[in-house]
Amino acid sequence: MNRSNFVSPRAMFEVLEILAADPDAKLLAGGTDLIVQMREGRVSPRTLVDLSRLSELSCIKLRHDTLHIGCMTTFNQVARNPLVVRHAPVLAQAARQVGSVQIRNQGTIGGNLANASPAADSIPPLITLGAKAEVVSKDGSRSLAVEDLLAGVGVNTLLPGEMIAEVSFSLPAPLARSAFVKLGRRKAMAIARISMAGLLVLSADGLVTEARLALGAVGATVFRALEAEATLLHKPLDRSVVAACLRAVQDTVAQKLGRRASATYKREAIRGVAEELFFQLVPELGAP
Amino acid sequence: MSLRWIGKPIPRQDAWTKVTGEARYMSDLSMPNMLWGRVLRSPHPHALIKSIDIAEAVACSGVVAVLTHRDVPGLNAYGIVVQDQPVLCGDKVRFVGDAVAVLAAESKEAADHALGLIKVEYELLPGVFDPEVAMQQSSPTIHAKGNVLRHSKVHHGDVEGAFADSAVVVEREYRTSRPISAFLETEGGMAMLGADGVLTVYCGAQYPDRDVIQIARALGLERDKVRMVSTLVGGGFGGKDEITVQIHLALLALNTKRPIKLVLSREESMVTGWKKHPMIVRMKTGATSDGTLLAHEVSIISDTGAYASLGGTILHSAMEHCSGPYRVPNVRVEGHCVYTNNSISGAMRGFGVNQVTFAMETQMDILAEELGLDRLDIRIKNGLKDGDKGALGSPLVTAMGPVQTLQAAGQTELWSQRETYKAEPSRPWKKRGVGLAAAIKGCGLGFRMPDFGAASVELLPSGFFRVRVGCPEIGQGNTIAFAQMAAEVLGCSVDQVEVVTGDTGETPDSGTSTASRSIYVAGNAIIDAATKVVELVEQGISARLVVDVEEVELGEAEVRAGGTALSYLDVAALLLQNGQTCCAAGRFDAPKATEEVPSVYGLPHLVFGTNAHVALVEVDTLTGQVEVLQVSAVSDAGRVINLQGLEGQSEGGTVMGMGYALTEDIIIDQGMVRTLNFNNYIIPTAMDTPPISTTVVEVVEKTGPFGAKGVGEVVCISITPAITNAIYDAIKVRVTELPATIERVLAGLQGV
Ligand SMILES: Cc1cc2nc3c(=O)[nH]c(=O)nc-3n(C[C@H](O)[C@H](O)[C@H](O)COP(=O)(O)OP(=O)(O)OC[C@H]3O[C@@H](n4cnc5c(N)ncnc54)[C@H](O)[C@@H]3O)c2cc1C
Repeated sequence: MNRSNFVSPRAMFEVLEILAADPDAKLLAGGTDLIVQMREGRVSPRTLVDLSRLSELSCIKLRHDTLHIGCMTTFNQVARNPLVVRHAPVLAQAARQVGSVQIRNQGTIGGNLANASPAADSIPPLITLGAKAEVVSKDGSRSLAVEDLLAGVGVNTLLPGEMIAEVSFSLPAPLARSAFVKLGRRKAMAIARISMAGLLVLSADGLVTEARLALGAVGATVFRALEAEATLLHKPLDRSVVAACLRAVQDTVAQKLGRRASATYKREAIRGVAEELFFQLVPELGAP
Repeated sequence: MSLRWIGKPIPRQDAWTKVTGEARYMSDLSMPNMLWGRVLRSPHPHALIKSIDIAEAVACSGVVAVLTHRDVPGLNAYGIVVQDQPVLCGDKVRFVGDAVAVLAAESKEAADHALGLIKVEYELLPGVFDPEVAMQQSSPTIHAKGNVLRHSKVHHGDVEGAFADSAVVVEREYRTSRPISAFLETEGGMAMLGADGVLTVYCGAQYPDRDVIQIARALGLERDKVRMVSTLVGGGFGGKDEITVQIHLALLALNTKRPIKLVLSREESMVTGWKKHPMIVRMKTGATSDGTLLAHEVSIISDTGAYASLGGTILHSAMEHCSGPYRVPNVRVEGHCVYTNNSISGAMRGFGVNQVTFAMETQMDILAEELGLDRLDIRIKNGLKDGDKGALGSPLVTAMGPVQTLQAAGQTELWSQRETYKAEPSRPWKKRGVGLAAAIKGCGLGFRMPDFGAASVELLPSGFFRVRVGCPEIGQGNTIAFAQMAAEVLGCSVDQVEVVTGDTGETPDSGTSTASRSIYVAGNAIIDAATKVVELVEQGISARLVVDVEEVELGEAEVRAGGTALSYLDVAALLLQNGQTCCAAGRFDAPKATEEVPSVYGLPHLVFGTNAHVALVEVDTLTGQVEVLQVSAVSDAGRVINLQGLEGQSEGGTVMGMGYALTEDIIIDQGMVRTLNFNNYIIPTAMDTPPISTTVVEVVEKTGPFGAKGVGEVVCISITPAITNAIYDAIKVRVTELPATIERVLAGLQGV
């Protein structure tokens, strides 16, 4: 591991100044991705900008029906926060499944987004929640949908000098149903082989009025399964509708995987993940 | 005999310091003026070394020494059995990770930096990675003597005739994986040359006395100029039985005359550490219609990687255990242990027995199914008993526990109520199954190998007793068991016994902490020494106080002599005056079979521990995911010395064997190790660990200390086939290749 300069600013403007001045600087949030990458020699930033002194970046606030989560909020803070648990249980459910207690105490939601892994656990739920990232730089700020932050495996769309300040989303409708399912090789410290989040809103007469399904670890980025979502819209959640949706999910995944080595397995296993997701979303349906 | 300490769940003496992190492993040590060492390793699986240029590294600031094969003063080779592994390669490298140079620098960073400045020119050779290819004449040769390290055959009975008489014959091929110990503490330590000219190596290891021999031989030193300290060890499991970094440490300390520290990174450990041998096991087993085993034909091809280490011995151990815990009167077994350019295989908990037991226990399930017999009944019917013959035809003359252990497994709720446990899977698309398996594993080193225990017991001026034993505490808890056995004989409380292990300057050579042997051999030696010390105390007190020897009695808190009671402090004061000592040495030579198995060196073993496992699994039929929901283990340890220690071994062994069944495998692709850390070398976590209950069956072994046998290995063996048999019970997919990953299970479900 090469040596880097280490700075620990106390104010946001200082962070943004450094980022603007030094394109070779890297933000250090929880370090659970960055330090690993540095040890492996995959990155060797000249300057490390430690965010841990900026306590305002780790907070969860509800303002005008929008939930704001600061970039330095850890998975455990997300998982235990009553507002998240109440209004966005899918995000809490995913946060609880990250790594281990130690990783959840250390890893942050900003780091998870910026690291842009297709297997990142917070991204599928954030996408189904329609979350936006607030991106700031010395010159100002912009807001973009979480999907639009992702450019490829480990690649985000941030411009030099930019950082993610927070993520936010409008509270889902009170009757929304949501769930997150992760398939790993073990129950903790597992990188998702496949993950999937779903959020459905139903009308009073039981028709689906909103459907968002996001898939992780089957493509270069987490993405929405739009065709599968469409199969649900304006339909009742009965077995045949769900079955059609599962087929659409499977088709989308097969297409996305193409001929990569893991395709043989994942093409099939996605059914188990999706089945489990709908088992949680529509428990009243029972057995397939 | 009423026992005061034996069998009690007495907490380990090192429990507190290990839990708080206060305990120091050898790789935690540091010294003022200490240098940091690193090893330059081959990036190629098979290549000739054309030149090594160290000039730039030597000139680098902070670098104190850069050493190559030219700087090895003695024999540039090591190996427990055959010395074919270079300390530092001179002409050729044989696996990715082979050591080419070592260096010492003022800081870790300087060492890391300088390592990249050593220039080695290689001429690549074709590699051979498949043991069956390596066996062919046309294959590239890895060692001049050829690629087959060991080829052995044993045959007894009329195998052909017995197959002809069999009502059913089951023939399958099994392939096993390449797990690694994954100990908490990677290979590492410190070394320094003392003013007295003694080179001390501090390094976690399983047999420091033998390491001293190997270090001295490589360095051209007298053995008494080398001391090795190996306490505490952060896990061994066989992976620290052979030399790891000891000789590199010693070489650097000798050369720089400064303290030196060298600790392998996890990645280095994954690449260069000793793995369990992957084996191809072909088994053909015949039985009568009532399930009596008649004939067994086995072929084993074992991939030992680039160097021999214990590969030949492990092959023989696999051959000896190739019928598992069962009696088969007609057996033919042939084994090949083969060099490849894969990473090195060596001792790892189970010593060849895990592989063949996985195969045999699958055969048993298939036989039961084909004959329409109960899986437990067919096992009990064939279970080895005292007086039977083992797989290689040698008589079993010690206490054999398979039948009792299997009967107890049959009585566990998990087995007897299995249909209830299986009835309600957590999801409609998941299926549950229950599997059963048993295993035996020989304790100790087998025929011919010197297999002894040695210990000393001494009364200290403080009134405490000190027990010294060579066999290191490698985390398994032998220290507390040693203290209990000593206290039981001495009569004092366990708290009054201090145990020192694993320091060649302090402790008598008692052999290795391997082969499930340390309780058995060292325990017997401790009993011998403690018995003598009791006599010394009784005689000493009797003489001093002028009372009859019969009237002196060592008790928990005091020694009674006639009418008076003395504290142990007073006893020590009375006896240790004027430079007198109250110390005795104890010795035990493990009994041997009367006859060696013809044509295989070092067999048979004499004493066997037995274990059985019942496992409940739930299989996701859509993803292939297998969850182990509950496990019942049954352990025959002979007389249990420390119940908590036994449960610890049983639970740890169960989880290790579960990793072997489902996830653990070092993936090597054309010689390159792809699993470099715990992100893709998947060991079960606490969250994956099911509730495990352990039932104890004490089939007392009369040659064992208080009737104990060793169980350190057998506890991890039967769980693997218990899980794979449970998978079959759930989804009718036979696992014949380990590990049963999600991909393999799903492919099985799809009939691929
Ligand atoms: C043992 C282990 C287990 C893990 N298990 C999981 C798991 O189960 N699920 C999962 O999703 N992940 C897992 N991870 C990955 C990691 O913990 C997460 O991705 C985590 O969210 C990263 O956050 P961090 O705060 O540690 O980021 P860091 O490592 O500090 O940073 C990651 C990257 O993001 C950049 N960055 C950080 N904050 C910002 C910001 N505000 N704006 C712009 N860029 C920023 C950094 O410069 C760096 O490039 C695991 C990691 C380890 C080591």
